[in-house]
Amino acid sequence: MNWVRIRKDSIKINGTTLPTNHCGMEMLKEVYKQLIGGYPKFFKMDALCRLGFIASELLLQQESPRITDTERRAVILFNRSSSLCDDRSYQTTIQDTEKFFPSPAVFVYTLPNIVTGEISIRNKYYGETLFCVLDKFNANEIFQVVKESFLDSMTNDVITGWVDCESDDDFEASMILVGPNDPDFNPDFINEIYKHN
Amino acid sequence: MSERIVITGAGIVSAIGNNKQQCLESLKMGASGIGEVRFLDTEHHEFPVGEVKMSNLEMCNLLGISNKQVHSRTTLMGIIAVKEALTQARADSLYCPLTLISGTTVGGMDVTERYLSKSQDMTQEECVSCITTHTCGASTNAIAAYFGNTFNSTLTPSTACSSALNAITLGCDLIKAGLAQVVVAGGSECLSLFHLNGFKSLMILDTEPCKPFDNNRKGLNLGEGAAFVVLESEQHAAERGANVMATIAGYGNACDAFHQTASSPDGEGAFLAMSKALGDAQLAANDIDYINAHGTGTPNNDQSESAAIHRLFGDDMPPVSSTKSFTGHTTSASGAIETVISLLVLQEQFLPANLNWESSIEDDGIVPVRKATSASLHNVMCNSFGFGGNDSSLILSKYSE
Repeated sequence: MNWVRIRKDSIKINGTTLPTNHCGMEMLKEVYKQLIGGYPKFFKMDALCRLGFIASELLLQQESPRITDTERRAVILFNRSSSLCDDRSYQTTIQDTEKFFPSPAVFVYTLPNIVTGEISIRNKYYGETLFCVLDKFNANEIFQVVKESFLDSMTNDVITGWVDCESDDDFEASMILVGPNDPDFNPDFINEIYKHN
Repeated sequence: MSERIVITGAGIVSAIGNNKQQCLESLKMGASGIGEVRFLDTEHHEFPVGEVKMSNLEMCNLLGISNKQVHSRTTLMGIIAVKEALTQARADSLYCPLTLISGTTVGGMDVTERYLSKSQDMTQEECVSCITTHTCGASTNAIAAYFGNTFNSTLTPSTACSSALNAITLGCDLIKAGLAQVVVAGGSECLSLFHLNGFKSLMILDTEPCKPFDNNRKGLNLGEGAAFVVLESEQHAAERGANVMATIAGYGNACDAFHQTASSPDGEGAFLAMSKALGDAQLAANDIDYINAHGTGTPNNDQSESAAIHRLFGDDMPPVSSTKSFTGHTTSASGAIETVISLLVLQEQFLPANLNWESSIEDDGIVPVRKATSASLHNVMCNSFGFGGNDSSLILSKYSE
């Protein structure tokens, strides 16, 4: 089972630290330029989508061959801050009656599940997508929702995890690609990645 | 085959009524609830909206709760609808703890907006109380709190405008997985300046009452409301002697994987969601007797949804209507509001109208139901699509033992 853990100043892939020179948003841009590239839409995304995009790209680079164009992969993510980071940016565009200009480019990211959409658009995933907002990180809840998603026989595997973004420079993500019969997938495993990496 | 999931209670509050009976009467009379904005403090009176016809104070009085505390309109409407659903299902005093799943995106943002401009004059306590009501999950927890010990867990899925339909399907999955016995699932969403301005900036709001599936449609009217259904297994309902309103025959969810907000021209996501729902229900396309369409009234959605419906149903298309012409687009609550409307039409055996329709969309248009009409209905499909490409479809069937 491949996994990725991103904190605001470090990235680990399957337990191995990815060397980076920057922190926060600069770190995400650095990883995009060094290891991904060729998807300029990255620069239009808000911070939550950039975070989810980078995490999913690093995760999927571990997959060989990389699967695209499928209905059989679901994207099910969780966080606690919803899209608050982009909500704040958008609020500034409607806060002041003198400078009132609600921006469509900012508004489109004021939903947490846009990040599941961005990952699906990138990889042509037509399967289930779901974003759940929780009070706080809860491995049991994540485990249960992912387990339920396998009741749909269409779903072969699930990209799941925690993608939380407080601001451009304060965020964290943990992402796992899991199949229905992965023996190691359980709440302890989800906790282990999140808490000890 | 897994056990059937049934609906044993339903509640709704929307622009066309504060309960099932009022909504049913409006649907039968063809009386839309869309009109000039009254309760949302906005200068944009040029956009008609589907507001619930009660102030927050009136809702507090109805529920017998103090208006001295800060309540989000999302929470107040949610409580009203959950209460109606629980009462009907006689599920408020069950031996087992219930799960509440509420889809929302706005959550308590209305409270935040109300206090934001005065935050500098507020005491720390007032600031904290408005911040703690802000999040989506907080609105669900506040609904649950009203009912004391009835609920022991809550879930708040957020998938934009398909949130509430996904809440219902998530509830079904929980029961099938043995993780819950009785689930109250749906959604609640009040109007906010934040999304009214946002939809305006996307240039998808109509200054006239919306015209879903009309060739000259200009956009949507925003609405608000809440609706919830009580879900349990057929066996569980039978054991406790609950009345079954309808069966959840099947559901499907798919991603359009096309654009953050727009639907693909060929409606791939919508097509896949409807196909999966049929497959899950083990029904053929011609078993569907009515489609309650997502039908927002935007040029993009209705064209895309028409293409998907044509592709799936071909020439043998069942009657279609969008009841958003009554309620407005209640965004994250819409999937639940339209599920309850579908439930009402299934029980009362009639097709609700698609108001304001005059001419068919060029090429592959749909001629929707124009007037409430009696019909023999066994299986009805309810579509709910959201930004992020998240598309869902649910099939309700008339209950037979």
